[in-house]
Amino acid sequence: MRKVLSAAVLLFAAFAAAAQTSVPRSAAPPANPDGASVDAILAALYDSVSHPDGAEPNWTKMRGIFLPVGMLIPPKRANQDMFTVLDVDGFRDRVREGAANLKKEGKTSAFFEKEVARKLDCFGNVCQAFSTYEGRHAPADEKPFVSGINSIQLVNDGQRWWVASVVWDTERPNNPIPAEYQKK
Amino acid sequence: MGSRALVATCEILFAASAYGQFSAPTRPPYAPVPAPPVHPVFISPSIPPPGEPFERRTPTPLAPGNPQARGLQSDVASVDAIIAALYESVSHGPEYEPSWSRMRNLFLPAGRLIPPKSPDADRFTVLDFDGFRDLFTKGTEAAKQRGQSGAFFEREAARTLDCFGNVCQAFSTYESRRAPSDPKPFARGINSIQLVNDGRRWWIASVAWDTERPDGSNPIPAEYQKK
Repeated sequence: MRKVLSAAVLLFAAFAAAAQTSVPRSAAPPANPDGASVDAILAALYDSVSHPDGAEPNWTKMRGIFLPVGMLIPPKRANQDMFTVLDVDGFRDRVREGAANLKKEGKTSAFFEKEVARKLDCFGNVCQAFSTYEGRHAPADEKPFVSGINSIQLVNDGQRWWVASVVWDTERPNNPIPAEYQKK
Repeated sequence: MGSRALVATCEILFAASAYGQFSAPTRPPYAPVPAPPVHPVFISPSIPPPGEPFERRTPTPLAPGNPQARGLQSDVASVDAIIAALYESVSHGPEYEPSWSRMRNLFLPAGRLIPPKSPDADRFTVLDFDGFRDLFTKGTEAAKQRGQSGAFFEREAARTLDCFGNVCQAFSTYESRRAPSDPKPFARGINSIQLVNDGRRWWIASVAWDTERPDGSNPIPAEYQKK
């Protein structure tokens, strides 16, 4: 009888051990080099959104740098009453819609965005970048077809950096980019 | 007695497994279902899940003649006003709580508040206004139970501001006191405040902050202490 009992105990112990080793209770996603530094995450943001004609931004890369509820807030359109607040998936839908419209008009949807200046404030696990951008249809184009500034809020969870929120506005005749945000 | 019961149980178990062998089709070997990976960031449950529109909760505008509506309007008329209203609305005496309706009016319906990860928390937390209100209320209750004052007075000590078109970001250094007249703050830190203007008013899109640590690490740099 003792043997049955101890066998049962052993069996249970073995099962418990197996369960412990095979069920990760808090498996963190694998380390993402894009979140390793402020420079890396900002480079990944510009890199992921850029794409040639007929292609799309790299959504996987972009999702990997935003908080799961990270926000993108584009400039309000003149006919809109309220801001559109997007997550990466919402932004993807908006980009696809824009690309489809451009295609209908026979225009290129190629988009290469690069950072031309940055003002960075950091304290502990929070950074905010005022990041001046230029958008081109081809990386070699002499002049950008669009410029503006991205306000990028970054947070560090103790392990890596995340984009919490990106809000931007574009340069317009009555909204030129101030000289202080054009400095390298 | 005990042994007999155990034998009986074993017999039943054995019979059951034998029965299973004869009647059930072969099953794949048992494997526990792995738990889904726990994301390192905790998302406030009040934030709509991905795929649901962020604008789900739109604040109900007050009638234009309402005196409270005028106050709420003046809170959002300028960057100075909305930042002042943020600090004023969160501050409160020992028997009160923050002015939640005033504070809610400052934030986009999808607005975020992102506190620093406390050393004993297992995950980093992202909140919206409702989540912040719940967490703040819990914190005040806990302080009261420890016999501490639930009062909280936060004021801005310095500000670095960048604006372009309809977007501003403030790096706003704060000091927290239990009473406005306390000579020294019990906590200091910096709020990163992201603001947008819809052509009629300013909105807070996101506030993320960090604090000076009790052990003296992470001191506020001199450039963010200048008036």
